[in-house]
Amino acid sequence: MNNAKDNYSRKVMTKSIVIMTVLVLVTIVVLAPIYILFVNATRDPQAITNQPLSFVPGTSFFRNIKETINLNKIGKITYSAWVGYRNSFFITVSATALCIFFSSLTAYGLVIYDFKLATPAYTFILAVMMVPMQVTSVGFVQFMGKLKLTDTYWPLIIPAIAAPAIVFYMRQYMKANFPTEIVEAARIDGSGELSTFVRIAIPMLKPAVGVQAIFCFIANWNNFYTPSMILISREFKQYTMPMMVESILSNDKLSDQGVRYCAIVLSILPIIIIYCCLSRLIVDNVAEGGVKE
Amino acid sequence: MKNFKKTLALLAALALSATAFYGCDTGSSNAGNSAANDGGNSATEESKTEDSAAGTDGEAASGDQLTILCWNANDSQPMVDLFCEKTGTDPSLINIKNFNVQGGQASEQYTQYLANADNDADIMFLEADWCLNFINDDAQTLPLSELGYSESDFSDIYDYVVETGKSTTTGALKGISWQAAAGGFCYRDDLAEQYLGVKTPDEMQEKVKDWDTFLATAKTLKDANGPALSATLGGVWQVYSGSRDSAWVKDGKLLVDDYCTKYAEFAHTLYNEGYVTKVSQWSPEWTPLGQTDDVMGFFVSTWGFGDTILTAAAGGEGGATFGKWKCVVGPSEFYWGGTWLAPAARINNKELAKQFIDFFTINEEGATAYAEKQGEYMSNKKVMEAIIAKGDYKGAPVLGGQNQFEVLNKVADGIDMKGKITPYDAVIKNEFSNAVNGYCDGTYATVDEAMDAFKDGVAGQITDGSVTID
Amino acid sequence: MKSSAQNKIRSISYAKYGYYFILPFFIVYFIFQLVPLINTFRLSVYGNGNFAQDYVGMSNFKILLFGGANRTEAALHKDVFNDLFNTLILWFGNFIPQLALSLLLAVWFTDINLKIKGKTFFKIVMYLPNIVTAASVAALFLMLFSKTKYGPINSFLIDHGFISENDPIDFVKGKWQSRGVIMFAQTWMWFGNTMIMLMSAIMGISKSLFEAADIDGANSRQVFTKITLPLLRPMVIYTLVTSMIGGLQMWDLPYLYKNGTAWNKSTETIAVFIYNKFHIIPQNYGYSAAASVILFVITSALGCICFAMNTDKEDKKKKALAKEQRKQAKLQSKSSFGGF
Repeated sequence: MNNAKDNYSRKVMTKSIVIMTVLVLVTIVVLAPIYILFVNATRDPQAITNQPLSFVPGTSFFRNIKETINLNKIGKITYSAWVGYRNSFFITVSATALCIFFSSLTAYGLVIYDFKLATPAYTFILAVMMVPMQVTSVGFVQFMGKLKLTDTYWPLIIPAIAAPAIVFYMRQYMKANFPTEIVEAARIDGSGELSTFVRIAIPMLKPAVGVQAIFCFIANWNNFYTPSMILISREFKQYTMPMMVESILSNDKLSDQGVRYCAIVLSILPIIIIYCCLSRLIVDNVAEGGVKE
Repeated sequence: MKNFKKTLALLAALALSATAFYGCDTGSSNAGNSAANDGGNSATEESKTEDSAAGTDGEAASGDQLTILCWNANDSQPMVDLFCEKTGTDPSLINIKNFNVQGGQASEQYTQYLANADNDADIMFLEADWCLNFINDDAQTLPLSELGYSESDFSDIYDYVVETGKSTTTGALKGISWQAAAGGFCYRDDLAEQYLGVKTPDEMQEKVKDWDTFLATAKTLKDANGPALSATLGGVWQVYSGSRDSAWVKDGKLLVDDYCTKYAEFAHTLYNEGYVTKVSQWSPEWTPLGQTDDVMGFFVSTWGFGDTILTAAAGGEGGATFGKWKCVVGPSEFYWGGTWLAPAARINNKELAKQFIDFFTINEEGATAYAEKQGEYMSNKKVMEAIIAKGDYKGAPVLGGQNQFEVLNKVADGIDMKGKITPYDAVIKNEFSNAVNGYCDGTYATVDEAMDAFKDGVAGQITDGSVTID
Repeated sequence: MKSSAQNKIRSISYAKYGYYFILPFFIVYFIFQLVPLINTFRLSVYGNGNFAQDYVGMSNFKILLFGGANRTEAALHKDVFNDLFNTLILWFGNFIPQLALSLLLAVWFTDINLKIKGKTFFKIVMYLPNIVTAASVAALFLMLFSKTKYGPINSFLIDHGFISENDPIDFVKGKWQSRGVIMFAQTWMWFGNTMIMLMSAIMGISKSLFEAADIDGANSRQVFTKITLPLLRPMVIYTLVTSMIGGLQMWDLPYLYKNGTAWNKSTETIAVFIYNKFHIIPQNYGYSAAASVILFVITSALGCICFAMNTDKEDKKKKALAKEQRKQAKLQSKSSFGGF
């Protein structure tokens, strides 16, 4: 008996060691590119050319930062982390808010109210869920040009209102977790329909809203496809963060490796800091959003 | 979480009003546009400094501004600065519309931008390789005669510069360049002395006077375990392509001749014997090669003596190899890049546009000032020869005392572009060099395979049937 | 004891609010997605470049699908199939390792018997690459994998004697090398996300099942193959399909991961084809739109397959499914960001 127990715990031990090793390895692979990036951003360009790979930070971080910020001042290379951040945040936050609000609203409309077109509408949403952006892009850009909406942020923000997949998700969630009686109770208390939705439904849908908000935020934040199609005139102050990075990438006149690394660091640093602060929330929320019954 | 709810509600309310806005706006285009700009850039004002530094000032009514379309501000910004300084023009009258892309992508950006009839454009910067896309299109560019020029006004300008600015369909002169984008071979004189025993540029020129000697010299260097003679294949190609003696497209047919196969084999040797490095031109590692001892030289065009190529290669002022460079004509006279100024068809500021074009081409004072400030070899031959004769200009600092104008003067005299330019050059040259690169790195096993890929590449790009490819 | 207020409420028809609430969605969908979609279909039967206004019938499709007599048509045909093939290869090459790794990690993280230290830390780190903008990832990998000895990875390999200094690996242009980097980058970016998805699905499986298995003395392999995997099947299928649809759209990395203006034919995806055909001069809206329509058909077919697979399953095990379906539904959200 004792022997078996020993055997068992030894087995668990071995397994734990194996698992730990794998996890540490995966973590190293995940972090290595980011680590090298940060290290190289602190190194002198000459040092990078002589020895491209180093695990020891250099001392030129402030010099690189200064040069990176100066890029735009001398008017040669269009890069400003600040402008990129400002624009990306504006677009992302607006699009996420619209997306979440209207998706919930649509789902709420479909679930709570009994009207003739509810089923066809839902079927339609299901049907179009799988249509990828790339399929419509040619027509999208051409049509936006006709509406004179190219070079504006409208086509980047407004379409977020119609997100079939999120409506679908919200509807499923609501069906399972949202007691319809509560709406009637609210009506008795004299609450208007929209205010019932905002005051009662949204708070109750918090887990679902949280998950979708995170996904929506990341999707919009990373979106490079639509802005690069829509912002035709490449007005510098309209650049989003991915466009700033592209401008560094495609700028053949920038030879300073330290600045190149530094520019990439600046492009991801704030979002990484935000992520680190909220990480527990995000990871748990994403995991839980799927489980909550 | 309470705050979160509040924020959400607030945003939702904002969103609602925004959609209401949107509904009204789609119809009236201008209102829609400006509303969007306001919405999109509400936070812009506070960062005005950065914006104006980049030279984009789209918010101001651009109708009475001189709008210059360009794909980077490397030239336009210093040009506008000097122009305003010397002529006393108010800088706010000039709007640099910088698309901030690589030269090759500028053409598509322009087309999309100009597709909107409300967008302003007065002068367009056009690169030699694709300038005919616009110059041949009367809906996009105006003949210079509309600004009051006649061809004789440009008698001091190098012939090939004028030639390139002419429409190949009507023959009208529609664009002119301020630069004679002649280039030379720049090399490290310390390395040259160490490995080749060369002491002066004249001696060096003997070592690279044609492609055969170039190859032999490269071999000498490699045998001595020395540096690659030239940095990249791309640089060699820029020079070699200049020595092509016929146009790429003749009678509507793509000309794939001995020249192509000969170059492919030549490139293959250079690449695989280590006579050039494997670095791609314009990749981030390219110019830093100049600070290593792995590379002896770069092919540099007139615009490349500054930060763009050579100064960057030397590591900037005070860099590791700053001042150790010298320039020679090299194996073949070539021009590389070069930007043409063409009046846009929708120009609404002809007077200032003419003044601007004048200043950098036929205005001797202006051209001299710009040449000396930027170290650029201008298209005005008379001006350049005067500068050389006067001897005040001491050359780009990176050359450590050599005056590159003297070298480039010899190069520019040897350039002949008559009848060699086609509207397809950008696409064809790009596809050709891609195919040759593929042959060099083993993607294509034989020259034939590479040429086939080259033809396919061109065929896939020129889809309107205007060029037949067999 | 029905109050008059309640009666009053009952008598009001609230149906109109249903219309009000779903109206914004449909208006926006109509303007920004449906019209563009129809517009794409329309453009696919019109000409290209200078002949953009001409109606050409099915000729764009004919050229793209079957090629043609002249070199241009043959080249376009070759490009489309080359790009579709690349899309498939790149998707396959990142999805298999991604799913395997995510599944393994998800099972470990949800195993109640395993006491893993720093579980939250690992989860957070593994999700991290997903929030890094794809453009930055492309820029970063382009620099790390630079094809000469001046790139960090190559310099590492040279310094440790894996390759000779004169023969660095061409990670940017080499056929399989560049594909490998893109597959790796995609896996790197998305496995954390997939892992968390699968974790939430596993956590949704009733605990009593695992407990029962534990009492019966099942080992962890048995638990995995007999319980976790079968119950995860819809989820895995779902991930497969959303990932495939995401994979068909793959654009950012293949578009940005190149040197200068030289397109890499071995990593060019169909989305890049579509983008380039209407961006690069002369603008070929017709070919671009036709390729979009082909992509649309493929996507729809895959959507139908996914649907069929799930319905099939439903018939077999009606009971367990009501719950799972809900779970899948929640995870449908993935498709909203074209992810993996």
